[in-house]
Amino acid sequence: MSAVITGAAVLTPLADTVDGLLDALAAGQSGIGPWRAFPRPPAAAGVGGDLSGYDVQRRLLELRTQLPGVVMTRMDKMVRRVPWATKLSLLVAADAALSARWWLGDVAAEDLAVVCAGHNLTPRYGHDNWKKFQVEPDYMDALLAVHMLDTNHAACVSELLGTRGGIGTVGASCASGNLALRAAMDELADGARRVLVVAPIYEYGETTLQALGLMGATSEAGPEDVARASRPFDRDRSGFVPSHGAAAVVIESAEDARARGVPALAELLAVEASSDACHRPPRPSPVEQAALIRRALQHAGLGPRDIDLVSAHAASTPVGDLAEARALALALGDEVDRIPVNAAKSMLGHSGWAAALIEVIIAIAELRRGLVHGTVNLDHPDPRIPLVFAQPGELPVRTVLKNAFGFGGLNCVSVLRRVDDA
Amino acid sequence: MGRRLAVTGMAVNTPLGDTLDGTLAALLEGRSAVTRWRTIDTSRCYSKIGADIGDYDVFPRVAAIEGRLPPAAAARLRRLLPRLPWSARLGVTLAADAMADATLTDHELGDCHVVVAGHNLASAYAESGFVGFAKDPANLPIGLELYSLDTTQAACVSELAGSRGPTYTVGGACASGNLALLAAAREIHHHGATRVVVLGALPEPSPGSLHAFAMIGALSITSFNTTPERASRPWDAAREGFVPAQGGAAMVIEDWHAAKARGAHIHAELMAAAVVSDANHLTVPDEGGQARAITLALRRAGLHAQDIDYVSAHATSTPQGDLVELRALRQALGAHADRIKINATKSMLGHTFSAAALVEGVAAILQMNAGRLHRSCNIDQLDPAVDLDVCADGPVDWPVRTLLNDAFGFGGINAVSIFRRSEA
Repeated sequence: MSAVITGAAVLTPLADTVDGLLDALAAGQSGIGPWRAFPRPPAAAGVGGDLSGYDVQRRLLELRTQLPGVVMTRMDKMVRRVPWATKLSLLVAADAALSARWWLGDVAAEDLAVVCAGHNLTPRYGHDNWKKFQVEPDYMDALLAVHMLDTNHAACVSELLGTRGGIGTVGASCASGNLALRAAMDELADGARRVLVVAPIYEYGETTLQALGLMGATSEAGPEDVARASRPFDRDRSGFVPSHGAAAVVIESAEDARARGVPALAELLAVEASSDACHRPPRPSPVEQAALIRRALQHAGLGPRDIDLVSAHAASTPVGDLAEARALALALGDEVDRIPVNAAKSMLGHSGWAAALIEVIIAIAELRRGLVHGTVNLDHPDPRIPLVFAQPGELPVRTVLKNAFGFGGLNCVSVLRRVDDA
Repeated sequence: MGRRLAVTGMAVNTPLGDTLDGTLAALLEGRSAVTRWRTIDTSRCYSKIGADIGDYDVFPRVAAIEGRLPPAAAARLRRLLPRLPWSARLGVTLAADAMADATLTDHELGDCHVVVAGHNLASAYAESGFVGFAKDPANLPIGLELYSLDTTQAACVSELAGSRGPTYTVGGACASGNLALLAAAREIHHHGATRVVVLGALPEPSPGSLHAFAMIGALSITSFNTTPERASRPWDAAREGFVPAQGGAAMVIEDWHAAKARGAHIHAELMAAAVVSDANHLTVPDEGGQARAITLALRRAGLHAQDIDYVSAHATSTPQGDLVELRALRQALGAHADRIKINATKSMLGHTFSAAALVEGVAAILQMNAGRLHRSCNIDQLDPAVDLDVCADGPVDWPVRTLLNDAFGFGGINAVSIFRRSEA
């Protein structure tokens, strides 16, 4: 069975449309600025891709003209009460469903599934309620017991779209977005006809950013240097830049998409996962990552020669970027001198559990439009990283490798192919 | 369809014990795990009671099992444990316990896939971070973010096994354990796994999360604070909500032929698991959704309603949920529902949240293999609406070939698993 992606939506600091996002990235624009979502913890740089000012009401007004009435009613009932991050999950899922013409075709609700990528999604909401608990326990959100659960994102999206098939969350830290695609393919293999995959915003929180800062995981660039903070593969990279972002895609079989008359945006050829068997960062294993990439290519029935573009994990960390470059050299052999690599996190920062799915969607847009983005802030490429960096501009690409290597040594990579006869 | 699945390793940890034999004996005796909370400060909570292993010391258990682990894995376990906060420390020990029970070699451990059931696990640890941040941000533990993440528990199990296989968490609220069994089946059916370590990680109730559940009226907070052992009383007329519990369990799910080939002891066969959504994000148990999950699992297992001998119920002791589940069983099993036994392990253990389906899955397999079912405790006056045999009167000898393990979570997440006795 051939799995295709028929709908996609993003919500990022640079854009909330897929084409708008690729346009901005290809133009080298950065979504990174001063962090405004909450006061800067002392060890944090105060820099990030911040969506806290995103205009939910404006987006709801736009959706009101497009969503079926019954769906908009469910949206209105839920969106008012749920926490901020869940509101954004509802918006991005609705957008992906529209893009896939979700309501076209005759599929039973029991054959529609929802997979949610991520875990520990709302540390800031948790912290806010803890503060209220300290003042007066009953000041907490009356529905905290429902809203604090990661599964609430999946359940709200399921309610919005009326899905009655499979449901659940999957988590593999920064590889969660890719892993959710793997889980969606399993749903299809077990009989689901269509799967909505949502990757909610990872909120970060004061303690999160403070702890990451103390750990030395995040960029040290200060507010005076915001657009230069995230610099994957550059000599002067100092850590990742925390960022908000959410994404959603719709996956179904090529046969079902054709029968519904819905164009496939891309074909999902393979998704493979592995572990480094070492939970403590930063100890990424190039050997393990390379073995995983080889396995994914093999499952896709491809070799290094077939890959036209690598969408790197490249979070701008000193150790991680180097390990990934070494893994690519090991896995792709001589072809690594040919295959262009780009790093969306140079402009978007690192949206945590959602990052891989956002970057999958960017890669799909690149496949479809023959337009690729580059990597900004590569002023002094790390001499130990002999990769070929994609130049922004027109470039026909047929097959993309999407890497995701997560905190705790949890890895997942996907391979996507352009659909030519759409 | 697909390859057969064997349960070759099991482990459980609750206030009733950290061994399989001890747990079964305690359940058959009808002992309660529920007390006043000792290790959680509930001074500001409505909720005062629960099943408490907050001060559990892992090292006696480690000493008991490490001789049955490959030496390299035992050494990795010893190295890992001191770093880990409570939930991960007990979780990794449970995973090691199940690996030891499965008598896996280092080589066999090395190709395990790892699935951890649960989400939002380390909430008390995260709250300790909020406290530390309020006092002195510069003094936060350096690993706070790492050890706050559910995925770190999965990564630790993978490190313990020395396995490079796929490693991740799955979440389905209080049904998470059955979602993890479904994921394990998929690893073997679709991803070439030979064996999967499944950990029902221990959720860590915090004062704030206990209060959150009390605020939506889900907990027993009124009548049984001085008699906590009587609070969890599924199907009793005086039930008033669930009793939160600390506890966890682990299983090793293995390709049947691989298990046979290495001469492994097989506790049971995992026939199928299934999950379906109610399309309702709130806390409204739905008879139709629960029945659909049961029917789907039966279909996947290639079984019929008549094949079910025993149901390990979700039965959390809530006024509404306990009855909805019985109606769902009647809807899915038809007249056969009158010929089966149903019991509620939560009547003794309380509700271990995302771990419940694995804790109770282990308990159910132990009962199946013993041919004896524990009673559903605290049924002083059976709810008159209960019209099925819920084991109210006492433990009972009952031959079980096939059992159904229910778990229904917040957000309309209905998941069940089906196990069958492994014939010698």
